[in-house]
Amino acid sequence: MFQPAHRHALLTNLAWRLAEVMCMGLLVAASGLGLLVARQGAHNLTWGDLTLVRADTLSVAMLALLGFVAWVIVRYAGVYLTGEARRMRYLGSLLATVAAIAVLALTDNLLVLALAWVTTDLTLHPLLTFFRERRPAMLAAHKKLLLSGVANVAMLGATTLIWQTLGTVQISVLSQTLAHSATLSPTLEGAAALIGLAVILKCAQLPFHGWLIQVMEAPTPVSALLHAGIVNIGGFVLIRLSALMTQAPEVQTALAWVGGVTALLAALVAMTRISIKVQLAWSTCAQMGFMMLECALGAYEVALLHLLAHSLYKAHAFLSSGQAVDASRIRQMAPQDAPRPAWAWGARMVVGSGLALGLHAALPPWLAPNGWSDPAHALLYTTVALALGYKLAMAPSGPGLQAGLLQGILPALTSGARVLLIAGGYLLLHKAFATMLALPHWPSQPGALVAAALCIGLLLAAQGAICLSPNGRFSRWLYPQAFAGFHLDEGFTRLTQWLWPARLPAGQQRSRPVMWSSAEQAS
Amino acid sequence: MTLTPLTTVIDTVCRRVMPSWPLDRAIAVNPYAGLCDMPIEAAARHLAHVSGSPMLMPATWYEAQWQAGRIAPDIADAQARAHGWPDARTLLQAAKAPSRSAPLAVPLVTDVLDAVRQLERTLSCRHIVTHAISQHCAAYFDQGQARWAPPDRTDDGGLYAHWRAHAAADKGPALLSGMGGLHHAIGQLPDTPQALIEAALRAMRLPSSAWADYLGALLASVQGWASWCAYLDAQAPHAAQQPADHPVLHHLLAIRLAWDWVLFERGADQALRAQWLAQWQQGLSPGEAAPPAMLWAMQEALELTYQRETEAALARAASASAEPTAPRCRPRLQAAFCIDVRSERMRRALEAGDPDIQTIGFAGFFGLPMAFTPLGTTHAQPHLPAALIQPTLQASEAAATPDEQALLTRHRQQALTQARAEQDFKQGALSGFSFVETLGWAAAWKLLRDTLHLADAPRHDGLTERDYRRLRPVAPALTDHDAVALAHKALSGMALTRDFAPIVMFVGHTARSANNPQVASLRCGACCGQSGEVNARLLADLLNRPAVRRGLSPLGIDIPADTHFVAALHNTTTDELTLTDAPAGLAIDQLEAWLTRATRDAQAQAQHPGLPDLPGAKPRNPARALIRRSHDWAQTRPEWGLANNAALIIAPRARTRSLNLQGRVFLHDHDATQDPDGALLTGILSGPLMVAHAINMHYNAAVLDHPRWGSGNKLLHNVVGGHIGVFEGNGGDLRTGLSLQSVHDGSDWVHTPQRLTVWIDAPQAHIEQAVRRLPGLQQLVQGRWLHLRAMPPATVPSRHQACA
Repeated sequence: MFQPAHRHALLTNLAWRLAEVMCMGLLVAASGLGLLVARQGAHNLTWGDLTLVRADTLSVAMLALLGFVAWVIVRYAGVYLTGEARRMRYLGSLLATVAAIAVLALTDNLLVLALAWVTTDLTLHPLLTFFRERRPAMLAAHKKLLLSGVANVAMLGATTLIWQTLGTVQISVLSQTLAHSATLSPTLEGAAALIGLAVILKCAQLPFHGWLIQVMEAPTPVSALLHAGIVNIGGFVLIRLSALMTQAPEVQTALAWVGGVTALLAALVAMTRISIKVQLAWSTCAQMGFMMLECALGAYEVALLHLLAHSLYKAHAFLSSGQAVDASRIRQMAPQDAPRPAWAWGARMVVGSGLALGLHAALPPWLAPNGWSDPAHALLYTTVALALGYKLAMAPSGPGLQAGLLQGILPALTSGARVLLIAGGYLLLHKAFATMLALPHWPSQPGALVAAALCIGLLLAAQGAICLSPNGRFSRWLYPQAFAGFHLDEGFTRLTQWLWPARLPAGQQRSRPVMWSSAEQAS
Repeated sequence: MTLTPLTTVIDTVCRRVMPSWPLDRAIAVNPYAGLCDMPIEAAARHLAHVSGSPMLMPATWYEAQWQAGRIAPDIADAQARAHGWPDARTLLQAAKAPSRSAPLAVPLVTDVLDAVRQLERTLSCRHIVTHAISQHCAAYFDQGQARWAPPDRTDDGGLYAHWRAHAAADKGPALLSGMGGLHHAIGQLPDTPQALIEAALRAMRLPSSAWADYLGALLASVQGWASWCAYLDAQAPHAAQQPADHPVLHHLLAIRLAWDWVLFERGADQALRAQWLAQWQQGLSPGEAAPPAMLWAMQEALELTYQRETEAALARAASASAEPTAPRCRPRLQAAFCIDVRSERMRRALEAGDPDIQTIGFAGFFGLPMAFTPLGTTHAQPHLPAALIQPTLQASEAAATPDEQALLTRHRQQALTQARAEQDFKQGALSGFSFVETLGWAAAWKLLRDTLHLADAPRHDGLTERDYRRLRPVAPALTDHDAVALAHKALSGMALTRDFAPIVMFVGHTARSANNPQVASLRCGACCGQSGEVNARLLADLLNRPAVRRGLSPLGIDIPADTHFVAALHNTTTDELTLTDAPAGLAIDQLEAWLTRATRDAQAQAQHPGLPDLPGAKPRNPARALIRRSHDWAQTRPEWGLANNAALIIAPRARTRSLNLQGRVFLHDHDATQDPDGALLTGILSGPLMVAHAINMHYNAAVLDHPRWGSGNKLLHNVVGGHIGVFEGNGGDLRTGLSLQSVHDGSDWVHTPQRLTVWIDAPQAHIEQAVRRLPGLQQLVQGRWLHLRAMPPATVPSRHQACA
């Protein structure tokens, strides 16, 4: 009935539509599950003795996020990859990855979770090496595979330890058991440490971050999927296993240090980056560090909030990275404000932060998430307040009072109102997540608190110094280090190539690359 | 100051590098322009020798063209015989011989080192060096991507000194390559680029006869950044103050040479050094280029085939329009379009609406040498062929009343500062975390909006469409006297000096494409990659002024009182043709009907004939599919641009009106009867012809050697430095030129690389005189960089003769 080429095109089209429907199916499933959780609270869906699905806020949130982002990426990639010979293989790997993450989000079984996490590495690999003839792509994917391998061994080791100690790999059972015990046995502490290690490796924390930065050698939607759906799984695992992790103070402190230092250094590196996608990648690295820091502080509801919002933001940022030229045009066109003296800058900072902090103090207790009594919460909210103060300090000054009373004051009023609005929205979300997640309250480890306070304080100081005096001595001293990525990846690359070298396609530089195979020459 | 031979060599080598324009001003550049002092075959040999870059397609490609009939067998055989082969088949067989496949370029030190490195285990030296230089250049030249610029980039010493200071502290390349101490060696290099080049060449004991080729090969290995430096150097004379490190290309050359030198001293052992030097001392002769030179015969045959077919069509058109159906002397509408090949399709569609519609081809900046500064900003953007001329006319925007203007200024400035503050908040080191937790959620809506193409209201630098429509372009400093001179030049240039229609329309063109860093390359090249809208509106506005018309009258241009000038915009992505303003006091129902019809017709045949279908264009509702495609943030092929361009015809439209030229031809109007001394023709050959030639070579180069002259796969594009260019993937050299998706549909090239054929309808004496007067053009013609041909004579009287 149809020409073969025509039939091929029809089938291809059908496959992409089907994939879209499957992603929507995930969204529908998430809503259904959400209704169930709202009505019956967190519980397990079972079939006979077999626990199939964990139904709670966390799994619903992850599933909804996954379904939405996957739907966006499938729709995007369907158009974006037109003309690429390997696009059907791409779709297959994409759907397999999404399925693995869905299993991971829904399961209550630690072994299934660990195996699903292994699967994401295997299904992601063909996506990262979509352009097999590109040497940097192969090298980055190889580094990722090596690190993931270590992480997977650690994760399976932790599972074994837990099973040997408690005789179960049911996460809900594990959580209940631990809730009633005072201290962890050494084996469980070992398990917590192994899980912490796996998360550090898989969340691309320093100095194991190189692969995340360098996989810009894969098509844009792969980056979107990686940054919105895969690299953040570590955070999900920490929240899922919070009952175990909070009982291991040393592990929590270690996580706080790794996360905090990564957040500090990677955020500084991101500021020096000169290409849009690499800048986004370093920012992800820093954001994952911050999320891990929040987990280590026991502020799991904020960590989940961070995880979800970051995934959405980063997916959009990657997919729309072609707009970087428009963004730079805006920077060039926007009227330049007269440089503001440090005292004016500081005053605005104080006013902005004061407004945000004042709002929190003015909230009725039933609306305020945790209180000031919790130092972790106080620290994290102060960070937000400081950022809002910075926002106000950077906001353009109005035309001044000589432009008329209303004209002069209006911008200041709107800026202030905006600060209050943003702070209020944040507090509401925070409260909502805390209520829905309904985790018991754990006191933060002092070591973790020190790490967090130090890293956040240093970041604030660094950002302020760079902003106020971009050509000053501090900036001149720090810039070369930050631009070089603190030389953390080169050594690691050499080490991998020495230990277990990647097999790179030879001699790409001087010859014409093969751009498309003849597989899809539909003519 | 006397020139030492070395400085001459450096100047020559640097002159061969052509500029690459920033993404938001991406105009076509002939990347071979620096070689045009040689015949094209010699240039190809030189290029293959220095960089291994081919200037011909592979033999198999020509064979496919020959088998498909796009190279006529008789022409192919004749060309083959002229080159000493019995016939085309034998020639092609010989050209396909496997021994002729690898282009052999002169070796750099990095290449010699790579030859003995285990490349399947380590990154190549060439890659490490290119990447390091590229990262450094990007940071040094960055314009708005990094939130934290190198604090010392404004220090004395320029690019080279900055590089030396930073590279001396950067352990990265030493760690990656495994050659310790590279950065220490860099710290001990000479202070200035000049001193470095001299010291390095002397220390490496390279024979002076090899300098030019070696330095050329060094620059070719960082082609992208060399092009960017060449752009900065080309702009420097026009800048308010000349940058201290001018010419910056010398700095880049010194940096690349420094790397080679350091690797020579630290990385290579005695044997390798001797081997490398021996290769140079034996005097590398430019070897056989690959693909082999005999394929020029097939390239020529391809072009001759096209010429024969087109000339046959032109002759048919001449005899067809000799029929006594000459249009009325006064057309009902005259519409001037840009010479862009995409105008041809739209012009045909518009002309089909009424035999008394006359269309004209002219450079799309409409002769206004303009720099345009949007209201409320100080950002002057050139709106003219900026590679050829400099702006002399400062234009901006104005509203109807001062109050309204102040309001709109405020709207724009607020929107822009707000957007910038948002960026700062988002990308601040500390605030970035809080941004995610507070405003990051908005991305959910943005993902939904962009995926479903919802609410995609265009913004004009911060202004809403409604606000933007309240502004009109103005040139406040333009006196009536100068306005008359500009108008006179524009009108005589488009041969529009009499028989004015009641409505004369200037059609600028633009392209709309979402999330596309290279959209400027689809916009009007004659307006420096901007929309031609401002130019068209300003010229229409000038010509509607009574004072300008009064001034034109003594110059022999009498514009009837009932003639109105209007401006329109052709969106080449959606093939929409719309008026930019509702002209006051003019019944435009008929005009609107014509435009609607033309839009519909053009959209219905939107798939450019001769090019493969664009994805997503459904024949059932082409208009909707086209508009949707232009909004789609995932679309990598919004339109085919100027792909497959092949010719420029300089003639009255009557000579081509009945033809379908397949969107392959630039059309410039020229009426030889109004050009007694050939001065107008000389103007066309010095301006529009050069632009068309540059565009043609820009597209050719992107097909002939895509890895070098094209910017690679859009799936990997990664915008650098705000608007400098793109990386393909993570890093590597800066990539310039057209993307793969612009010239390739996934299974085959959509642009046929062939040299521009120029047909001129003018007396032979005028053509010869113009070529004599233009040494640059003479070089191109004699070097076979383009074909210049006289139009076959026609019997048809031109419009003016008929009405005289």
